[in-house]
Amino acid sequence: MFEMLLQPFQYAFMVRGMLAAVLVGMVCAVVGTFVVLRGMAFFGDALAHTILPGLAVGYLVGGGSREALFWWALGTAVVSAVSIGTVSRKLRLKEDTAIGIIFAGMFALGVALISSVRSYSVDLAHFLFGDILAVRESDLVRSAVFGGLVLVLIYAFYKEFTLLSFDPILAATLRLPAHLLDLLLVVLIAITIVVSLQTVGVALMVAMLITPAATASLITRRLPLMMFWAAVMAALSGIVGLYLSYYLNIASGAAIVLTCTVGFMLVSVGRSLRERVFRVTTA
Amino acid sequence: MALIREIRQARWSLNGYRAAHDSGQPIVRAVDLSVRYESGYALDRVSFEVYKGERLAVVGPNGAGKSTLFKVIAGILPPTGGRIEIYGGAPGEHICVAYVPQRSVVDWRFPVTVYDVVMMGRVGRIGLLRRPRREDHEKVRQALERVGLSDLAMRQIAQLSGGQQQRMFLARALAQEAELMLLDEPFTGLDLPAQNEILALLEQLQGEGITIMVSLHDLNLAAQQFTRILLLNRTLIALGTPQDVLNTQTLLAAYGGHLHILSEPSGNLVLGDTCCEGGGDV
Repeated sequence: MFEMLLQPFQYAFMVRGMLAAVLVGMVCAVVGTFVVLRGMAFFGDALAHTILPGLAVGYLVGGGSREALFWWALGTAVVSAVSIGTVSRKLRLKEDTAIGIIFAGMFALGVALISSVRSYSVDLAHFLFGDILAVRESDLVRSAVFGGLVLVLIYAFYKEFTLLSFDPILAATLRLPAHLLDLLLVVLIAITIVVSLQTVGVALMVAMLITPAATASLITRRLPLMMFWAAVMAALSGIVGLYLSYYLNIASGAAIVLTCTVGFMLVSVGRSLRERVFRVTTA
Repeated sequence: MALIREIRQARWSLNGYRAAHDSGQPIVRAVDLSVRYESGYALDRVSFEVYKGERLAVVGPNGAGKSTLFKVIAGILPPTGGRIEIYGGAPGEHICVAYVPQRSVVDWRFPVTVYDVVMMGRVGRIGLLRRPRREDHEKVRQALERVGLSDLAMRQIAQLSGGQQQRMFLARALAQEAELMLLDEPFTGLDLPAQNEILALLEQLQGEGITIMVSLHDLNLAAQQFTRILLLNRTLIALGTPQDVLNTQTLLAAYGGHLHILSEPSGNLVLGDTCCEGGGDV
């Protein structure tokens, strides 16, 4: 048993993969708490998809450099995150409609760009579903720096983000720069997505943002604890998911997300069981 | 670029909001105030004045513009016509106005405690990038004590009764050190004891010089508990003491056919506003 747990660690790529999964999972979970509380799941999903053309361009011009990929993805993510509000206002569309149109279009553009390369299907699969076992040391360092930056900013603006999520009207009467803070949150979501791209890829990203936070919301009704439990859930899912991926020989990103999903289901079943028992004993 | 302009204009501390409180001026003055949405006028050339320490009921049917009026006074909705002044200045320069939302629009499952919510009233004064100081915790504790919620401070907000939820928001307005409190439908859905607790609290606050504007459906409550009544239905129909405001003519103008009016031998009117949710008001 012990040996089974240790065996994957003889490979350096597994160690780096585990570190990346834990690090990225925790950042996603903390940011995801606000995504869940503000009902921005669709926005997060769509934002992840808009990054694809950025990745494609970075891939085409960067000649396989990870650095180029990262910066192109980050640039695209921040630009689309910031512009979506403006676009929906200018086009007089509901925000989710605007998000749907633009983000699907961007995704198609990304697929089109990548399809111009010969090794099309392999590369596309990496972008879509992640490739955590290919994480290098430089990738880890970059994830740590930017993930850390996101966490520091969430900590710094914690009370403002909480207030804006709970009661935007009070935020307005207290004259907080609400629009700027909203933009900042959206940019933080964008950075988080780019940092996590290698773990689960574009297509499964939303699960990393939503599922651990949603699971935590079943466990606790305090916001700091919700963030804590979400981070624990995400880190555990990363580790368990990678073991599953190693021993069952399944795709790592999918394994991590499935572990998150199973965790959510277990917690929600446990909760409803506990509630039923509680009701019976008090009745 | 618009974004850079916005960053430059944002005030990162409260120092910009020490707007003068010229006590010679009415605390609220509306002059030909209009708000037009795409669907039409929510408020149409409304003019009135509210004086410091008053307790004013804002009464009118659903869609009369009560919430719109409160949002304009709080400075979170710019008027499309006319102007609104707080102590003679623009509402955006003040943070002494507290808007207490209707309980139905609040996300009660949000993972915060009563203490957290009351502390939110301090956020503007604490300032960006700062943590609450001892003074802020002290103010929150005092506010909770004033409304009798000290024992429930660590409860999640969904675990409160309707009356307790309403008192929590009053505590938040106290923590905000508001001089003008705008309460949107605070009595809707509350039973009589809970209503009376809120009313007693409002009376205390008024005694300390806090100005209170309350929107409500219950005309009887408005007549019994408030010094002045503002009758609103997009336009200002009447403003004055209950005796002046509540008569057949003005009420018909405000409510149209939705009102039941019975003349009693003594000449009193028994009124039922049947148009609105939160009915049962007689």
